[in-house]
Amino acid sequence: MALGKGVRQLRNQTPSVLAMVGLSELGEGTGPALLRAAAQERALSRAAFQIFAQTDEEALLRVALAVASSLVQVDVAAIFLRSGNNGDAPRCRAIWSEAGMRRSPPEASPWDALATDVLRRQAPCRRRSWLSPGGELCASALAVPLSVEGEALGVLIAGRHKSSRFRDDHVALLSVVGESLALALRRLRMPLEFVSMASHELRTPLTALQGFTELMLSREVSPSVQREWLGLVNQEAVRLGGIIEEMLDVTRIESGQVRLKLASVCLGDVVSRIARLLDSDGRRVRLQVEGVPAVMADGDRLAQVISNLLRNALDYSPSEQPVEVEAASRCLAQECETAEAVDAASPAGAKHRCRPAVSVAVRDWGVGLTPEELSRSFQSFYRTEASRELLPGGTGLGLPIAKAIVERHQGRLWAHSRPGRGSTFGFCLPAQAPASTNGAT
Amino acid sequence: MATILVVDDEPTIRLLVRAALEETGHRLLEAADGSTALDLARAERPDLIILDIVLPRLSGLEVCRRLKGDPATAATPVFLLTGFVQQAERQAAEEIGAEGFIAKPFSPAALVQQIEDTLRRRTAVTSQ
Repeated sequence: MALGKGVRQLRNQTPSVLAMVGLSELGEGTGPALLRAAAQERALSRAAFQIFAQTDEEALLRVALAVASSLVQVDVAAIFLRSGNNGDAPRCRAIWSEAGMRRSPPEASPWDALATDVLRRQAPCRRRSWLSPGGELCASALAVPLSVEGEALGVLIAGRHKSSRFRDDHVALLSVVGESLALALRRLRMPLEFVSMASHELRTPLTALQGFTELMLSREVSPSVQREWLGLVNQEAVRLGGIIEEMLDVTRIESGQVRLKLASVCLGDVVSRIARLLDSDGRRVRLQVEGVPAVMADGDRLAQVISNLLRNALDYSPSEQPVEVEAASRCLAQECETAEAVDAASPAGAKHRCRPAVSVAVRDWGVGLTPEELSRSFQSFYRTEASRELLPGGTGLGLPIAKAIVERHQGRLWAHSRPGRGSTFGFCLPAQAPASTNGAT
Repeated sequence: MATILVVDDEPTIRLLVRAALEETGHRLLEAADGSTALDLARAERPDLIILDIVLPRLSGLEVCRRLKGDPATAATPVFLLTGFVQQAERQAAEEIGAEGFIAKPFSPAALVQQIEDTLRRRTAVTSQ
């Protein structure tokens, strides 16, 4: 996530919070309330700046705690972060207390019921009592989730010794701090996460290459077994090459280093060609591609998008179920009115409405995705439980690549899904050709 | 002869472990996901478990936690198989009582050595 995007997102949210802060105070005497709202606004923008200026995680957590405690009067504040795997209990990573900043959280951070609860529900929560990881008893506590794009990274908890309840504007303020902290955390972790996820993906095929060749060199193996193992070595080497290709692809497209080769493209033809390729006997794919206008686009890249979407649909639905591919000159995203429509560009759940030149939708009746899985499915290397089970060899890069290509065309990739009912993934391309013919270089 | 349970969602990795252990004469059980692994561990009482961390249904760490929490399986040595050994992961694994890590890619000979050493130590302890 670019810094610019984080700040933009924060800026978009700030006015609503300020409106809330201002309006909730109007009843108490307008003058002082407005002054306080103005002061809070200044403090909030200073806070956001401080948070986004940090370049290491320790410092970021310290600054976020200092910011939180200055915005909302508290005696204790703590940040709990999820430690890697989903489902693991959040651990306390930083504490601030009136008595002064502690250098580090306690060695064995006790399990925190409030943090675990807020992490699960991903919504702010006020409590009457809370025992801080440092052992301070609070008679009032406010916890907000640190979540970004549907992924809960952790929880920020503020506590007061006295039983003075946190007001609604405090909830709003602390939520903004939580959101900026989550965005900043994500931005700091992203390159590291990409490298470590990439290395994880590369290690499985490497294990097979190293393992089987070592076994063949160290013992006498019958020709038939040798053949079988060489087959596996070859299969994993091909897979390794594929992963590296996809990694380079997603990095190049996302960083704008790919030139689109624009030409007049009929998406109906592209869709039919990909369908023939992936469903050679024409048993599963049903096409609806009549009367689709030609657009200026990179036909090879769009073929890659359609191929990624169709491959997912075929792989993640039962082999006796059909898959439907539709191309039309109207937005197909709104067709599915019952399902939650998630726009990949702003996964906050915004309904997608547009007047595209052309739209493509790929529908399946397969395993489907939960809302959290759906919003995370555009992150590099993210794979759902079901996808790991159904297709152990997948990389989790197909959708990020598709999204990046569509966005390079100034278009939008969107998705609807319901667990157990199936998914629709599709995209819309605007009438005008992408702004710069050559793209950023 | 010992019984060894290998848990990995990648069939190729299970096949590799099977091939590596072929000459030792141990009996090998396989599971492709966390919940099948737990069922097999309880029903078959293997002498050692090789457990991938990234698994469908239940993560390897969760499977390990449950194995160590069940008196019937708590004493069974567990080796966690992982693509990336990070500090946080290592700490979590130690806290829930895993006996060791095997980082991918691994050498089959070294894996066999590690398994044999652990089994031998265990036999020595139980026969005392």
